[in-house]
Amino acid sequence: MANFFPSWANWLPLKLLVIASVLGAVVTGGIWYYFTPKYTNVGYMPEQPAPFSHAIHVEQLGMDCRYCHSHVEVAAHSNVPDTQTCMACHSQIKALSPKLAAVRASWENGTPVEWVRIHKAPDYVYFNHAVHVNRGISCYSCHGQINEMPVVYQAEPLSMAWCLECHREPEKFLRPPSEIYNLSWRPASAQDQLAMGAQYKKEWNVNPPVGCGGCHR
Amino acid sequence: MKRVLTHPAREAKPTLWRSLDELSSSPDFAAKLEREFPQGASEWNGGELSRRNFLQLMGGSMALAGIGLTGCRRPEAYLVAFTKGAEWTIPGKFLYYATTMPRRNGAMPLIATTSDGRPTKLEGNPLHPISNGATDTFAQASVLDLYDPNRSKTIKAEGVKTDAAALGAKLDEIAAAANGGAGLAFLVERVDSPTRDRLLGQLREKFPNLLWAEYEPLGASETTAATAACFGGGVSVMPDFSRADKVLAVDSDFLNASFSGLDQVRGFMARRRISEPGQAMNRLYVAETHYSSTGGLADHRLRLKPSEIAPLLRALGAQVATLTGDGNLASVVAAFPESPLSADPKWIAECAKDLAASAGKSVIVVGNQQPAAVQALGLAINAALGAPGQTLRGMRTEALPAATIGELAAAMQAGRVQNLFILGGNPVYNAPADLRFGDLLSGVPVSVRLGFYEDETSAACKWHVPQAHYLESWGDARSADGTICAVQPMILPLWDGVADLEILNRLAGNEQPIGPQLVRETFARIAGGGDLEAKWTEFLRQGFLPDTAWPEAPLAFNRGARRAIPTIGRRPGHRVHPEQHVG
Repeated sequence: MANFFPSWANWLPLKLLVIASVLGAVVTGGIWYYFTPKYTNVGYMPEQPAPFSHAIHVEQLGMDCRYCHSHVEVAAHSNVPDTQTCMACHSQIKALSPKLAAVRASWENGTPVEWVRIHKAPDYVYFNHAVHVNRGISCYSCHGQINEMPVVYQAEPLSMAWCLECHREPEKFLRPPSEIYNLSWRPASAQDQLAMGAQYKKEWNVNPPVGCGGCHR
Repeated sequence: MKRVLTHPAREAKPTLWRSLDELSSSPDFAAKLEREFPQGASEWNGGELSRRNFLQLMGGSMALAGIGLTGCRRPEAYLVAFTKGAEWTIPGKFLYYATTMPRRNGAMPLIATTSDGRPTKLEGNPLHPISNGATDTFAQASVLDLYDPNRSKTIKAEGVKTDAAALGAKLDEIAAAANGGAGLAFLVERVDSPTRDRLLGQLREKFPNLLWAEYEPLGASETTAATAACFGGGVSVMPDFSRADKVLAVDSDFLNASFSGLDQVRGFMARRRISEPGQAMNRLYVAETHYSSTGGLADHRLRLKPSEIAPLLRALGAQVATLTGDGNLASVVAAFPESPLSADPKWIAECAKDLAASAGKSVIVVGNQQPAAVQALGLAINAALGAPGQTLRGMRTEALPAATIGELAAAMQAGRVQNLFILGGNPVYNAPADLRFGDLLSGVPVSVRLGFYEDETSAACKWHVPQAHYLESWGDARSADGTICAVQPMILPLWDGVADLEILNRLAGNEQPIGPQLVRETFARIAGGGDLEAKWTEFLRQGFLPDTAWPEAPLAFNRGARRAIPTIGRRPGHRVHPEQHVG
């Protein structure tokens, strides 16, 4: 009886196995590396109902973060301003600007402005703004150079690994309390930062949780 | 032999049936029984769009929907701030205010948790001695009432939606036409509210002939009548279990805080727990007709027929009278007719012996639902046991006189009621049935009903006005010990609800009150001079005005009434069903 299969077919299963495992490793590695918040979330820049520019308000006009995000120091949740806060100035300044149509409509109808959410910790993560800003972590550490952004985008991955970078070594990020809301402040050098950070960590008894229960309560 | 099974012929009207339809055996139902599913439901004989085609299309659409990976996109979420921020609120943080839930048997002092300006949780007020931080199920659940989607939401006149201006005009018209109050009547719920009492005073001054009636389906009118007969009017009695070594509860579920009060449960349980050597536990005897939490905690429980409550107390009273040598009790007992009693005489004898042995440290409580005569017999036994002033505290109360629903019904029957205000409650549903309150109500020319729901009473009334929840309106109420508590609103009325105080105020011819104005005026009279603003702020902060509890009243048994005790509560007009009385 003639051979049913040619001789090269002897190697076929092995070849297929090698190709499949290489392909599997590439796909797994790709997903592992690229399907992370660092690649999927950083740079998220949705269109907002009113084109609010942090660059104009903070850099040009010199407004403090806390004028609008007024409860960041006292509450777990950092609020976005209510329409009343916007209208406090914009009833006088640029009162007829078409860019502010959504804000004026909200003020007249009593329906809130729906700002599109950019920074989001998952529901299973507890995050407290007040604790961070009151213990030497600047807005800059998580929100990036937001004072220079004409349109807000996500600057940091906000992933668990990223959180833990700081929770394990807070001395790399702690700042003087006076510079928390000064987003352009930089330490003189890396050595300075480490020395200062270590001192603050000791003085303020900064002891960030690194166990699961710290955030996944 | 082969057995032949012959089923009996199907009866025209079956004697055994599985559903009402089968019992009526209508032709419709017979047709339904033939087919399990209705015609056309179990097959699909389409041409183009047959069952098979439909599944193909649906499967294809699902597959195509997956290609774009729409499910993997980041969903857009929104940050929605207030348009105008609510005062003092910080997103994600709670605010706590003292308020009070008005109740028929004494207000419940509360601390309300509000988030973003909305009350979400109620707990007891830890500063108030009655609550001491505790509440009961009714208070806990009452916050859900506020958000009940079935609440009534609109003012209606003759079933047609109308507005607050029309209601105001109607009230003014009634007030202007009411000639000295003849034909003007009110039916209200039992609440001790100084502001309501003050407005009632104004109304009585303006309309001397008005009829003010109170009705509670589970009220304490029998207790009031019994106390008045034994210790005189204007007095109420409250057992002090913290001083009682021996307690007998007769058809009384006093350990259910919703019926008695948290302080009574606390007082009893304090003596139940032993924390130091040498302390003695209290002893609880319960004679009851059904299972209750009090019976569950009894050391000695006697189950009893409802008809034997009075005979039991009579037998027990006779023994206590002998043991204590109290002639007063003996004559009260003698006035009650003897009736058969199936209970174990040994139980009664031992109980009487135990109670009498700790005279001055024992107390008997008789359920509110018992007839006045039976409750009075209980008070007479308490008097013989030396309970008054020891385990039975007397308080001098200031309840304003009010008619009963029976008297109101009689006036309605006689056509003497033209304008009737029903403020709260649902009397058409829960008034004694032989009053035929619903029928009488439809004969009243103008009836205004303030109610939380559009219910049976609303249907029988000309006007329906949605009632404001106590978390939506200003008010005041006395807790069981008489302390004046603040009822603070946590939110503006969700559905334009109206408070009973606003209606009374309008009828009295006053201006529409601004905020807490009505309550503040009452408060100014009670709290008196000094820095009123500071006193008012403190009142709202802690939720009650200290040192306003009812004054202690000495309890002296009215010896003149002892022969008449079996007949109290049988006065004409006082009670609707004298024939129901036992004893």
